[in-house]
Amino acid sequence: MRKILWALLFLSTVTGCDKRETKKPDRLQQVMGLQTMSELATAEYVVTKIIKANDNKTWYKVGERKILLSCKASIVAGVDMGALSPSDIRIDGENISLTLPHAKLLYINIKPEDVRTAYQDVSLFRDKFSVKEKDMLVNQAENQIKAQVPELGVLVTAETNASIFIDGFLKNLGFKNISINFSDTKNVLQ
Amino acid sequence: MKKFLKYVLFVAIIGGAVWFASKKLNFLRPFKHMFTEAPVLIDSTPIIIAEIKPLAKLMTITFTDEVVKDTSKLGVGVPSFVPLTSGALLQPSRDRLVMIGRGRVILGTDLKSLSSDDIEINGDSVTVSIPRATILETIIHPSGFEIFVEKGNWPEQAVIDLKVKIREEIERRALAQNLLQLANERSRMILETFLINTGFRAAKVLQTTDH
Repeated sequence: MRKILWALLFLSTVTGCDKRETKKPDRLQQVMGLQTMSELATAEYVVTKIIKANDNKTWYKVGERKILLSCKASIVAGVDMGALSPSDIRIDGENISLTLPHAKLLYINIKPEDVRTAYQDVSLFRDKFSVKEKDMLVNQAENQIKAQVPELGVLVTAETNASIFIDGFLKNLGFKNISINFSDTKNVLQ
Repeated sequence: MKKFLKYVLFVAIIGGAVWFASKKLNFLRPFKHMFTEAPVLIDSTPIIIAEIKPLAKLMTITFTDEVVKDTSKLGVGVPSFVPLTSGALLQPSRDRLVMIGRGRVILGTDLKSLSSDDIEINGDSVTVSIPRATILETIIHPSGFEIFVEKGNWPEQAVIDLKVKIREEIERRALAQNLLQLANERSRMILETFLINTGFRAAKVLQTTDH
């Protein structure tokens, strides 16, 4: 009976050791090189976020480690001017009506110099957080920021600012009555 | 000897049965990741809006690139006994950090300073003067940095400095490819198309260096 138990324990240990890091293929294959675009960025939100992590979930690691990072991110939104076609513009003398596509998220930028370790507490038997581990935590923070973009109001601000800018531009071109609308197509978050 | 062979056969049969059961019935699933490190997940914390800025940046070209940079310093590890070419007996331990950075540079024209002074209308023709294209932003996501070698303890500022060097190198390579000229041409094309669509027969967009 003892031998059976030892054999089972050995086998479960062997099958349980699965520390291989299976590298998942990138969902989007990076295309190195040049691409054209035609977006008009009209709003930038500068946001701050505290990144809080506690590494104490691995049962076989003695002790825990905690970290607090502060980060600043720029969220930029705007409209795609390339999506504007002649059918979206109606002119009647000095009156003009424009239908723009809805604003979308253009990018989130977290600069390396805007990420700082505010606090770190590592117990005796653990290693400090490595550069790679900190980058992974900041990556999670970026994803959290991206998920909350609709609630922040940056897209609404981008549309408002786009209207103001294009209204001013068209007034300088000689138009008196300007109407700017946004199409009903769904926002696409990049 | 017979007893030993019986024991080995017994373990092999048990092992085969366990393997078969784990593959077909997946009964070892709770134990499968027993020794797998649990991922470190961050807590959900609030996002504070520090500043809201209105922009009018026409983004026309994006350039993606990948750069490798490294740095090293004297370490506190065990010195190497490989003699240096100068004849020294010990080679001091060196800490090394090698990083790969993948990012993109966005080039375009900042139109925020555009005013009525920059627009000249002549009947059904219009001429607009806009600033020259510049690098509007360089973006390297946190996941865009790959640590290839991390040997020793690295202070935070040294890591930041290396990442900034990677960003500057990506920008330098973008400028070396004459992309500003391409960005200028594209900005002109987009605005001229917009002006024609607003009813002008002829539209010309010029770039100035005065803005």
